[in-house]
Order: sequence, then C-alpha cells, then structure tokens
Amino acid sequence: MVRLVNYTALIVVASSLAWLLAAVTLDPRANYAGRTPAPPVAVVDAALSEVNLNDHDPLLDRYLTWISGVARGDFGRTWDGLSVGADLADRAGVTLRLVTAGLAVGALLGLTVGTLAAVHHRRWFDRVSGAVVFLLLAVPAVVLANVLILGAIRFNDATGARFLMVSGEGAGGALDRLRHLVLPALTLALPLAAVFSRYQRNAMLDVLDADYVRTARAKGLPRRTVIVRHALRTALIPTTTYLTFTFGALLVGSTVTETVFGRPGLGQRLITAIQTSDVNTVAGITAVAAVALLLSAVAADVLQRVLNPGRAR
Amino acid sequence: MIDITDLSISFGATPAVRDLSFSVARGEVLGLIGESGSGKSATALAVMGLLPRTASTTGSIRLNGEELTTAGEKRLTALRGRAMAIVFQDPLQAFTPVHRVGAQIAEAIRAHRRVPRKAAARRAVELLDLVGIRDPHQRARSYPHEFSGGMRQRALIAMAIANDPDLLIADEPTTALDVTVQAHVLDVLKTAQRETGAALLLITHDLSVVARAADRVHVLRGGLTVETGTVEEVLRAPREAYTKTLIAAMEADDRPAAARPVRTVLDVRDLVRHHPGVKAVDGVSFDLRSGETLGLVGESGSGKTTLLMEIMALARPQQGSVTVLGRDTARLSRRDRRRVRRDLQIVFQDPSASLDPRMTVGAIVAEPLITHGRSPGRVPELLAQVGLPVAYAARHPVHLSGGQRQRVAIARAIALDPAVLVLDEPVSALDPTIRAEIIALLESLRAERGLSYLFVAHDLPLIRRIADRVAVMYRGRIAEIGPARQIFTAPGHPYTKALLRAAALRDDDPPIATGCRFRPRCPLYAELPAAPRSRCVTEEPEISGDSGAACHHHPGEAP
Repeated sequence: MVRLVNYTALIVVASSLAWLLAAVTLDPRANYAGRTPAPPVAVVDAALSEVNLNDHDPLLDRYLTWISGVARGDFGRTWDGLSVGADLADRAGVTLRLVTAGLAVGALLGLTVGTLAAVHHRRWFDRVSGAVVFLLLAVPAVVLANVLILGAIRFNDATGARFLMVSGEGAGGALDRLRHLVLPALTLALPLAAVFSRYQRNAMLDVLDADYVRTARAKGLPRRTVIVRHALRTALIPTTTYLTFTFGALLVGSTVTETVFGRPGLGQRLITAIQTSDVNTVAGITAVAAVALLLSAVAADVLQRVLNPGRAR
Repeated sequence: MIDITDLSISFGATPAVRDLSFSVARGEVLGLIGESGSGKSATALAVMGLLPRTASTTGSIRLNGEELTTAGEKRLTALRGRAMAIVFQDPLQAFTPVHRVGAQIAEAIRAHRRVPRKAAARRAVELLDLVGIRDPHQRARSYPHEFSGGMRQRALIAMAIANDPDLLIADEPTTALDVTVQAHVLDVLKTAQRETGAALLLITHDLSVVARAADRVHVLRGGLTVETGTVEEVLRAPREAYTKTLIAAMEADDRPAAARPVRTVLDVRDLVRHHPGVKAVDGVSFDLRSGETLGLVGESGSGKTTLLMEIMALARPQQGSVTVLGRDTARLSRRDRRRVRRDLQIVFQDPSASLDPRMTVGAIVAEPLITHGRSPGRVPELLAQVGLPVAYAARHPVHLSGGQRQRVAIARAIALDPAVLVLDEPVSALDPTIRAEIIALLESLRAERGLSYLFVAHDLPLIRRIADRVAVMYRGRIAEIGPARQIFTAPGHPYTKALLRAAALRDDDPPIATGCRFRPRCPLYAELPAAPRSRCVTEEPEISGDSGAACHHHPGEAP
C-alpha cells in the first residue's frame, strides 16, 4: 500500500519533469513559422494559448493548467487541438498488443533455448544457439525487420496466400490483426529471445550444479523431471524479474519496429510529437511509460512471491 | 549387499580412488574415514552413479549381485532412491529451496511407487515423525530454510529411507552440525537403519562419529586404503602410523591448572546486542588476562559470532561495556580507536574467503603494517615465524593449501604485535593433521609473544587441549565459565554436561522470554519437583565472580 503511494508520486514526478523539459526546449510556434501568408502573431498566440502551448504565457501558469487537467484525467491537447488522452488510448492498445505478443513469443523461445543450451552445455546445441544469439544481437532492428519483410514476401509469393502483412495495424477483425502482428512481433521477439536465452542459460548453469539437483537425482527422479521441477523452477526466479521489467521498458521502446511496419503506436507517436513540438503528448507518453514501468515492478514483486514462496515475507 | 572390488576413479588424469575393495552386509554399518581429498565422497557418488561425466571408473560395484558400473542411466534411475539411497552433507543446499519439505519427500516416494498424492503426503509426515521432527504435519508444509540445520539433516534421512532402501549411504551426515545435534542425528540414522534393515555406509572424517555408530571401519588416504577392521581393533590398536595420527588428533590432554595472570587485557561487562526479534547477545561478562586462552564454545546461534563482532567493532555497545587494555571502547576518539585496533586482531574460519585472492601473500601481510604507518620490511620475518618459506610472499592465495592460507592469515594478524588475538574457528575448515600443525603454531606464538587468545570453536577436545579457561554460551548468555579442567571434569551446568557427553538434545525449541532459557531442553528441570522448578520459570540464573554456572540447581549453588 505504501509502495503504491510511492509509485504514484514517482509517476507524477516523472511526467512533470518530462512536461517541464519539453515545455522549455520545444517550440510549438515553429509549426506556424513556414506558412505563407504568415499568420498574425496575435492569431498564433490565441491558437497556442487555446491549447496551453503559448511560450509567452508564464511557465508556472501553463504547468498548473496542465497538471490540474491531468488530475481530472485530461492530458491536454496537441498543437492542432486534438485530445492527447484519446489519441494515446488508441495508440496504447496498438503498442500493447505488439509488445505483449513480442514478449510472450520472445520469453517462451528464449527460456526454451536457454534451458536446452544449459542442459547440453558445451555440446552442439549450446554452440549453435550461442552463435545464432550473437548474430541476432549484432543485427540492428531495422535490418532484422527488413529481412523478415523480404522473407514474408517470398513466403507469400511461394504460397500465393498473401497471409503475412507488412504494413499497418489491420482493422478487419482478429484474424486481420494477427496477419499484421506476426512480423513486427517477431522483430521484437527474436532479439529479446536472444537476450533471455543467455540469461536463462547462465541461471540454469548455476542451479544445475547445485546440491539439491543432485539430491533430486539421488532420489531416483527421471532426468527430465529433475530439470523441469527442480532446476528450471529455481532458475526462473532471477530470469522472471528481468523479463517483467523488459515489458515496461518496451512499451515505448518499440519505436523502430513500429515505424518500419507503419503501426500507429506510442513509440512512433513520440517521434512525431517531438517533431511537431507537442509538449502535452510528450508528457503524456512519458506518463504512460512510467505507469507501465511501475506496473511491471509490481508484477515482478507478485511473481517473485509466487515463484519463491520461501523467501516471501 | 554391496560389494566393491578394485574400484578406481579418476578425474581426467588425477586419480581420486585407487583399487578400493570393501563390502557391507545387510544390517551392518561400515565407517569410511579419511580427510578431504581421500576419495570418500567420490566413492559414494560412484555407487549412486552420480559422478560427473568427466570421471572415469574401473573395477566393479555390485548391489545385490547386480553390476552398477556398466548399468544404463535408466536402470540406475530406477535403483536410486529405491534400492540405494544417500544422505548428503550440507543440508542447507540439499533441498530445493522453492518446494515444501513434505512435498520433496513425497516426490521421492512417488518416483518409485504408484501411490496417490495424498497417500504419499501422509507417508512423508509419518517419515518426518519417525526421524524425530516435532509437529510433523505442520513441518511438512514448511520450506527448507525454515528448518534448522539439524532438522534438515533429519528430513534428508527421512527422504533417503522413504522407499526402504537396501543400501543407505550417509556422506558426512553430521559435519555441519553442533555436538548435541550431531548425537541426535546419529541416533536417528541408526534407528532408520534398524527399521529398514539396510546396509549403512557411513562416510566421515570424524573418528568419534565412527566410534559411536560403526561396526567396521575402513581408513582411506589419498585414494588408497590405509587400514581396515572392526572399530574396536582399529581404534584400540591401530596398525598404521596414519591411523594413529588421526586418533591422536581426536584425543585430548588437560592443560595444567595455574594461577591466573594479573594483567587484564580484555574486559567485557554485561554486553548486550539485540537484533530486531533476536537477542543475539543478552548480557555477557568475562575477562581475559595477559597470556591466557579463553575458549568460547556453544552451538550455532548461541551468539558467539555476534559477541566477537561486537568486541571487534570497538564502538559503543547497545548496553554494557568493552574494555581493551584499560580503555573503554565507548569513549574512544577516532585516533585512539585506530591505536586500539592494533592490539586486537582476528583470524577467521575460512582462509580462502578472508584473504583477497587478487593480492599476493606479501601484500596481504604488509597491508596492516602500511595502514598503521610502519615499514613493510618485517614481512619475511613474519612469514618465517608462521613457518612459511619467504619465497611464498610472491604467490597468490589460490596457490596455497588451506593450512598455508591459514598461516598467512595468522601472519597478517600478528603483524602489528597485538596483545589479543581473536580466533574464530581457526582450524575447523582444515583436515585433522593440518589442524594439529596450526594449533602447534598458535601455541608456540602464544608462548613466544605472550599473546592472549579468545578462541571460538565447536570442537571440544581441541578447546580442552588449548584453553586455560572456557566459557560455554547458550542463547546469548554464558551458561558456565571457569578453568578448563573444572569445566571438563566437573561441569556445573546441565547444558555443559549434555555438551560434554555429546548427549542428544532437541534443536527446535521456541525461545524463552523469562526465567532460565535452557529449561525446555534441560534434563535436570524435567526431573525437578514443582517447588524448586518455579525458580527456573521466574528467575534468570546469574553467574557471580569469574567462575561458575548459570543454574539455580547445580551442586555449587545453594538450594
């Protein structure tokens, strides 16, 4: 409970700082600068004041207007007068689907590969998976995404089905969404799986030598049971924490993927918001990111309690 | 039951066991004894088929006539835990930390028998009860870290006998435990073996364990068999010199009693250190005189280590006082504290953990000299004093044996010519013969330099040999203190008596808020009539003077 209050305070501080930083450095007036004929200054002032972006108004007044709006659940307006809250709510859904899918696939793949690599320590599977992991980590997301797109086009041509879609979000129901989700999700999932697999491999190597794994074998459990129920179960504890925090970080960290695949998500929006000097949108996205990160901290705590009942107090 | 012939094990090019042959019959107990590196544990793992892949074995291991060295993994899995079971050492890590103890025992049952979950869980509770765990229903639902060391060891025994094995291997089953709990666990092990009629292979480096529990004994050294025979033969009339050293290291001579020296170097009065929820040190008083050795004994959790750390902190204690060479630590300025630190040095239990692996031996010994602004030119002299070649100054601790590392730790501790040396289990991580060498070194240093030792150990024969005076700690207080001879020949406190007899005492009692804290385990209290009993419940016994026992009813005390 105390922790929740602390977290809330942290979210307020983080988004306030983001707002202040954005308000001081960004210049919404520039949006009107290149117009011909140049609009009168008074008109621009009025338009900017209307959306609380006028740098001629005192900073403190603007901040108070913004923060009191946030307290009422109103995240302000973009420079051209749209509601930030409604915009971000749409985009958060898009990003959430992408990140959830990417993380789920990445985690499953990473945990499986890491566990198998540890069990077959220094044998062919370990070596091959290690090489693939380093290759994936060395390739930037843009390149990986384009490789996947090329692969998908080949696949579509070969099957003639045009199942995999390379751009947009999809609006025609669940199946259509899935068609658009596969490639970007994979783009996120593969590097994640690479990192997770290394974490998991090391965690497994630590526990495979533990005395209790020997005890489990000594009582005559089959090898598979020993590995799953005693070694894997314990090795999941450190890996899970890492995994949960990744979720929070990814929510605005999937910018490249969103841009390449033309998905209208949060990361993509952050970039355009900075380009158009949308102070309120920048602060709003920061707030969403802070909430996501702190929610994953809570989730990590809960998972620790579930996975590690002995240590929970 | 089990027949081993010409068994050799090697790890790569390093042989661990050479031409080992022995057999254990049904209902028999064979003690396999030797120091670390003698190949005892490798033998146990070879029988269980649990050696790492890097090991290679030759020779034959037959269980009930079936050859195990050539058996496949599937067959071994079927035999493990059913026909042969093992109780490992270091019970802290022997259970998977995230599963309940009862569930882990039930798992062992269900690995070999098709019984319903519930029946297995019930059987697990029965087994915990059989090995003497109180409240087995409740305890089966506990996690391993909620058990004390003794309880975990007993639970491991319960797990090992879950399927009535023909062969039970116990690998150092009591090494990590206190004397009184050791005795209890050995009793449980023998009971378990009687109940199941198994052959018991008892692996230990502790002769007293073998003397207590085994029928026959097999002495190993460096992978080779030194001597074998019945326990009486080997312990009474050892044929080999090595066995004699082992026995000599176990037996104790009394120190001659002498008048106490006059000068007090360390004085501790009513010292208190409470952690939240734990009264780790709860009113301890003693003094240490110049040239004297005070042995501090007590089971783990009795507050010995906390007491040492409070003394070493040289800070104002929560309550009470610590006086080093006449200076009260509560009133020291920062500069004086530095000066007093020179006079009070410590040697820790584990030299591989207490020496920085990145520093050379020379740098380790020179560090205190440099810190206190003296010349490091004395390092060769110090190394010579602890019996190390001067050339070792350039080596790193990893290239030294355990005994040599402890010599380095001692050289570092005496570098500043301290008056008092605190020794926290300085030899318990070492093998018996090395242990004797380090003790001899400490004795000669004390004689040469007039050092005073505060010596913590759980090895009672060792304390008897080295200490002038002994303090017995129990749950944060001193139960009894006095001259070593008196403590060992005429102990006053029932706890000291139990400790000396290595009598079996329970280790899972709740802490006591008022009155005598020993009474839940006290054999004397159990037999007292109601009237004198009430005093134990209401009044905490105190020690007055520099010797005595904190007991209302010991012979020296007025009734």
